[in-house]
Amino acid sequence: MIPPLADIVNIPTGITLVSGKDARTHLNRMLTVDVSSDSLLTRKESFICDLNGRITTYQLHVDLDEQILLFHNDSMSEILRKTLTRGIPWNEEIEISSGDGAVQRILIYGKQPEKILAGLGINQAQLQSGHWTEFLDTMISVIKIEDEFSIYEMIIPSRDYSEITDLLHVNGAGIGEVHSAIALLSIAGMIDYSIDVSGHIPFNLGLQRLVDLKKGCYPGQEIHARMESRDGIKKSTSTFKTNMQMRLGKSKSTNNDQLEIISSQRFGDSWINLLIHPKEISLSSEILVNTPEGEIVLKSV
Amino acid sequence: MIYGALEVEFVSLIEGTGFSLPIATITERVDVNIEVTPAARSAVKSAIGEQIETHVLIISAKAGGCSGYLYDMVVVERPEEEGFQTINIDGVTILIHDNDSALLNGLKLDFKDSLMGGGFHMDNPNADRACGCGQSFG
Repeated sequence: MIPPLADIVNIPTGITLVSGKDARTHLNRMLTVDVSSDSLLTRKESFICDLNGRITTYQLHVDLDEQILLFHNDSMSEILRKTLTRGIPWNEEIEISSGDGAVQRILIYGKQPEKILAGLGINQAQLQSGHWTEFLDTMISVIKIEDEFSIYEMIIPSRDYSEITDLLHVNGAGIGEVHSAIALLSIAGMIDYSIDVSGHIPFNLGLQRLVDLKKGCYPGQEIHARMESRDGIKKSTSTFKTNMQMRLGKSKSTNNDQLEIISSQRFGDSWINLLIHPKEISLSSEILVNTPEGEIVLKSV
Repeated sequence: MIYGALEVEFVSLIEGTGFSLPIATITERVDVNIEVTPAARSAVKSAIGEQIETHVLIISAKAGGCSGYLYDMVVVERPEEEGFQTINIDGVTILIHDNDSALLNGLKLDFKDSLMGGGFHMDNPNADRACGCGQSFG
């Protein structure tokens, strides 16, 4: 279940590098969040949406000033790079490159990852979720600190991967599993970038914080503004536990509510699922879902 | 490098190998024709003023806006960069970059002199949709 100290796991991810003195300006015209005031080592998440307000790509930013690294689901790599390479103005310096395999993203999760970080000389109190902190040639940030566990994130150049992970293991870190780490993120109410959320409306994922309606126009902004102002947000996303893996995709509850499972990850003896559901469903109760395997009980986490 | 009040070392995260060469963009080039209404011609001439011999109007499209692309118009000293198509109208030089030619070919540039909603207006036959403010198309 939750590692007593901490485990580390490498999360497979697509990596795109946007570089040039106008990289941030170019990105800002397309993203759902405002990055115009970002600076060196800002850590941020963002969406690029289509004209109907649906998510095209979901990415994590590592701002290195004139070089911005984007981490995203690797199935989104092609559409993200295609989107970013169009509409580059004649007078702006912007280059888009693939960084797949050049850098690794690991999660450090457990009951006391702070002890491992302390062993490396990193004071967790100095880490902020909106900021990357340099450690040797790596970047580290905090994702979530809960009462029972914490999750930290580290970006490591591939050339240093063995050295850094050896260092973490020497200080007590165990070998984790991708599904456990993503499940723990889901329990913490977070959606990892490796989960495919394309085609969804950000509001339906509970990610309103990644939609900035004051930044000005971006693709999908009109739809988002209309939904927000006309109380058009009818769905939400919550975390539910089951005793078996759920099939990803749409299904119906026994009450005929439209549901959609976007992630189902094994966590110990159970499965942690991210479920898009009508907002009015009471989360205090269990949900019964019709599946080809029969009725499955989803228990709120 | 100065970051806030702290001095930090250059970020070496992306130094070394592993990153691809910049991804090339293939854009269609077409011979551009645009229409400029008498009102727009007058407004462009007024904007350029006495610099008409040295300065040009560049009309371009960049990613962003509600509909996917944003129009941009700037009066600048004739750029040294290559890749522009030149259109001369009443002594005014208008440049459109080859990369934008397929998006802007057939554009009709108009100017409305009114306090509300005044200024340059674009009517673009390539646009399937446009933003209410008129600055974005897709």
